[in-house]
Amino acid sequence: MTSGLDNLSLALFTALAPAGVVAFIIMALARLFAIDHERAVRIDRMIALPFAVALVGFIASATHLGTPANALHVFSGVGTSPLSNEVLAAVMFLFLAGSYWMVAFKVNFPDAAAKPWLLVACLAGIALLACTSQAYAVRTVPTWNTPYSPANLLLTGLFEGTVLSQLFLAAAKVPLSRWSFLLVGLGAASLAAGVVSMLAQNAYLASIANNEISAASLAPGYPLVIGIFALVGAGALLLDGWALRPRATECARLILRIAAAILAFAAVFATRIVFYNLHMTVGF
Amino acid sequence: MTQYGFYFDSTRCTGCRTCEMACKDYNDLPANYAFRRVFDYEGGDWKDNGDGTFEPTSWAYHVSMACNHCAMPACVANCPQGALEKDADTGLVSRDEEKCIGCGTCVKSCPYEVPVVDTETMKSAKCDGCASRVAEGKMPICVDACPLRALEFGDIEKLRAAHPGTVDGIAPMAPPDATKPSAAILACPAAKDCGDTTGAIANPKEVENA
Repeated sequence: MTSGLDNLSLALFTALAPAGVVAFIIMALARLFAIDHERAVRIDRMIALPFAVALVGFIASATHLGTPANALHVFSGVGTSPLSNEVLAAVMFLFLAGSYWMVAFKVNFPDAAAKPWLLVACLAGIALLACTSQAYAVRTVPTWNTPYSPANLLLTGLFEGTVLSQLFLAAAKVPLSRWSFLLVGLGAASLAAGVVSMLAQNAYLASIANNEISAASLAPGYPLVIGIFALVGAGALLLDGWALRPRATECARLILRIAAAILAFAAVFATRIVFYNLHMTVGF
Repeated sequence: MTQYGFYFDSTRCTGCRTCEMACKDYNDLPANYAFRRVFDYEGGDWKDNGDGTFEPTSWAYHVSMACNHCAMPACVANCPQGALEKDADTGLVSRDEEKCIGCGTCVKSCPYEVPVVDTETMKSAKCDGCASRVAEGKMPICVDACPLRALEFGDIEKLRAAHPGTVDGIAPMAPPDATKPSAAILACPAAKDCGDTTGAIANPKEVENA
């Protein structure tokens, strides 16, 4: 039951859902502080994009279930099972974010309703990030049960989320401001922190072994993947930075940001595949 | 609660696999996995005596292992569906077919690689200690089948008292502190402690549940 397909579906989930949540929160902040109603409405339409990213991730995660028909029993484990908490948080976030997007199509959608709704959706998103990062704290799996698992998940999610959010903000025709520069800076900081965390994790792997295998042998190419993550990630940031030139046309800006989003996703996806390949137990 | 578990006498086991086959037959299991598996744990080398002579230091022993029905089962703790349950009376860990979604979390968390997701039913499957036979006052099928009388089953504390000197794990089993297995193992002279790195599982393909 450790087929590559399983790993791919979960790698896809963790490369999409956290980034979707981060991009959603950034768009929600842009909406909360939007200066004019026109712009707020444009963001309301395009908030479907980060929602869709998280939703695709959630659907991908369900493909590793053998018998999804009985999946509703998952809520019986809420409070005791980290995975149940994660699924509950995901369902709450997707429900709040998706329903917000749909209700926002009402012609008269007062801010008094919109703003608390968005805030609650953001809180559910933060809960989803927290629960996803804790889902791998399995005592019997020494390669997952480390501080690096949540750190890498959150840092890569933050990095990819900031890159995606710039594309989605461009789609909502939100003009450049100093916040655009801040987003690129935040992306660079999380990319750098992610690389440092992964390098530390790679060094830590040398100390993990069970009866039969050493953790380092599970992912001999990890240093190479970290290098790819750093370079491709830096490429995404470069494109996003290039898009900030005042002379860039809107079309060029959009294309640059689409390319950046694809690069950021690819960079994170590669590291997630390694994470799932690192599975081993304290046994054999 | 009485905690049931298996006693395994590694000084008697010859690695004949009768326990494994009896279990597969009784539970009608497919070819690609087993609830009870026999691990061949082997090691050794040629020792250079320095005078032109060499001595073999090879050793080998068998570990017949089903589910250890742990006191702190990782599969139960991590199952998101509550589909794995530890029986309140017997301490046996079994799987609720209705609740299981085949997500494989039990497979990934068990350090003994006991649960398996069946590729036909797409649900997890595992040794339940022959709970229905035990309820009828019988022994699990593997215990009855063993021609060497190397397996016993019952209240694990009574088994430990009846067989002084047992341990709750030998290599290649996982260190017992992770899940507190309800196992009593009489170690043969060749047996190594859990976490041993001087030997290796010699039949990895045979014991791999797929």
